[in-house]
Amino acid sequence: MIDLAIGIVALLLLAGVGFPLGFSLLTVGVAGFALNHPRGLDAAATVAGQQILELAANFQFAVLPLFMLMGVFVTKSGIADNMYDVASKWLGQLRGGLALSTVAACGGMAAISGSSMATAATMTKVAVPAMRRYNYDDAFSAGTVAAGGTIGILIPPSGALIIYGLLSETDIAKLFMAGLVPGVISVLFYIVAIQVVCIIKPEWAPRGDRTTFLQKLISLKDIWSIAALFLLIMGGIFMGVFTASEGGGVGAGGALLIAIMRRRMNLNIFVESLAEAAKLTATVFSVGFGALMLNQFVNIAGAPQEILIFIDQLGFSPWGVVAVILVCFVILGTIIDGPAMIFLTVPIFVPVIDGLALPIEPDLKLIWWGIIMVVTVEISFITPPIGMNVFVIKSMLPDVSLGQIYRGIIAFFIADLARLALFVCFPGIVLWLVRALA
Amino acid sequence: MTESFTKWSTRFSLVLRYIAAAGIFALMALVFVSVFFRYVLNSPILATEDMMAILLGITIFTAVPNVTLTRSHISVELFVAPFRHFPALDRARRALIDLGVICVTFFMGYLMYLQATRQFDRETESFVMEWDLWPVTTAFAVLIVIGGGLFALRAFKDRGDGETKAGIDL
Repeated sequence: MIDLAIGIVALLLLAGVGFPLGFSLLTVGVAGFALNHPRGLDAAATVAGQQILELAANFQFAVLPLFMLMGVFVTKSGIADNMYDVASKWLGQLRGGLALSTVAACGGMAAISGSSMATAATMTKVAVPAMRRYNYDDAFSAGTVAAGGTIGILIPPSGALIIYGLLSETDIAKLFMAGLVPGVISVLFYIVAIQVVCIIKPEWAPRGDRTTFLQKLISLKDIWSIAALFLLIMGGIFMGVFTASEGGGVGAGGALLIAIMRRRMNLNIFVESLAEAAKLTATVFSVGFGALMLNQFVNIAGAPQEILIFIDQLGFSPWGVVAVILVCFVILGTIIDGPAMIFLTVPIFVPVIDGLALPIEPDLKLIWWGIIMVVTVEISFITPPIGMNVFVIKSMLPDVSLGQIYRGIIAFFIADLARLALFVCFPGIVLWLVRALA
Repeated sequence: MTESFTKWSTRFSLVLRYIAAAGIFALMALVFVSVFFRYVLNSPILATEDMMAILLGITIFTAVPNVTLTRSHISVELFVAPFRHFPALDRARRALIDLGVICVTFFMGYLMYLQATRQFDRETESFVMEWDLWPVTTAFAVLIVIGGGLFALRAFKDRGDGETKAGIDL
């Protein structure tokens, strides 16, 4: 246990001074494993090589690059404009209608891009100018986009869920099923948050233009292809027609066809998209190599068992342990950005959660935890001082201060904490669809 | 001399970038076509899994050098702020990090070489087509070492002046 504590301190120091996270994880993992194994560095080198190869050349893990590629194609196809246009036609006339439209469009983008910062960046370009035209408060507009963007990593297909699935060896299709209902609930919670803000500060979010029902119906023609693609992929995965990887391949191919049909794709954009997706893939996998090796160190050091014994001695109930871990996550999320948090904490906390006597079926426990973890990661995207979405929006809206954006986020942050509590206290909500389709 | 090295390394990294792009495209096309063949033509493509595994590896190991070269690896940088007040110290920190990156990259190349020799000794084959895997793993090792070499050139040129682009979009 003392080895692990030293390892974690070394890891924080290495990563903290700017050494790439994946290399920090790999260095600490190899060193820790070597110190705990009778064959020392020889064994560590063999295991590390196996781990890298098993991750990098395993067809099951092709799911991540394929969904990333789909996200890149969708973002380049300019569908965000249409999503926002449709949402504003349906919701714009309500009080705070354009903010509601932003959240709804973010949910729609999330369903196909799986990316949080891309959703926030795209929506900033599309939604903020429209909200400014209708005299929306800048802080509220920016806060809405920042918070709306976070939904991107919960609604499937989600990069964060795929990474969690790879690291914890959990069924990715079931994670996708489990993410759908909480994703929709997240949108609903944000809608409630917007309505509450509109009641308290009506001048922040006036009504938009009215549209006829016919105009509303006609607007749907611009997004039918993307909706069909989402239904095809998720339907295929949920019904067991495709594996998750095949869903990713069909999704990426479908997104490419849609981008071509919409005349948003040329050879340059196509090659750029491929290169961008490949680079993203390599970035994530290089951290994955290190995380898997750290996992080996954590296991050989017997840490999960010792942590459980330690917790047992403290006398905490299983739910008490979950609460302590969540508090750690929320605090960690304020200083470390979301993806790094997943890589750092999955090897340590997943075995602990797996060992807790929670009233959830053993095969669904880690599915539930995956969703809880991704929800906390979502929160970390908008919490100071390191809120990645906030930084993205700040870079695109230089005239809006960070303080203003954080002020605009407060209502959404409260909504986030409320839904996190809901998903923790009622695991049945998260697992409903998984159980129904099982 | 340094300039010609830089030009050469830029060209090489561009070639790797295109190979990575081709790799991920081939991966997508393979999966797309295999689903089409299986469900529409009722005739599955043989060894899809083997090809997917190899293409995934090629995509990753040709893209990693570019991630390293552009210093785009995910980083946390919790304790970096104090260094900014002391430019010389900050430069030393960056140079040390670059040195560490070079060492770890070459170590990863060595790990892949070890795996390749094990696969050669044990005659490890792919699942379906029973292809020898050691040439593929050796290629991965070579790609990692090339990436390490290119980054070493970049690090030598920067000598602690290179900026990190932390973070990733999920």
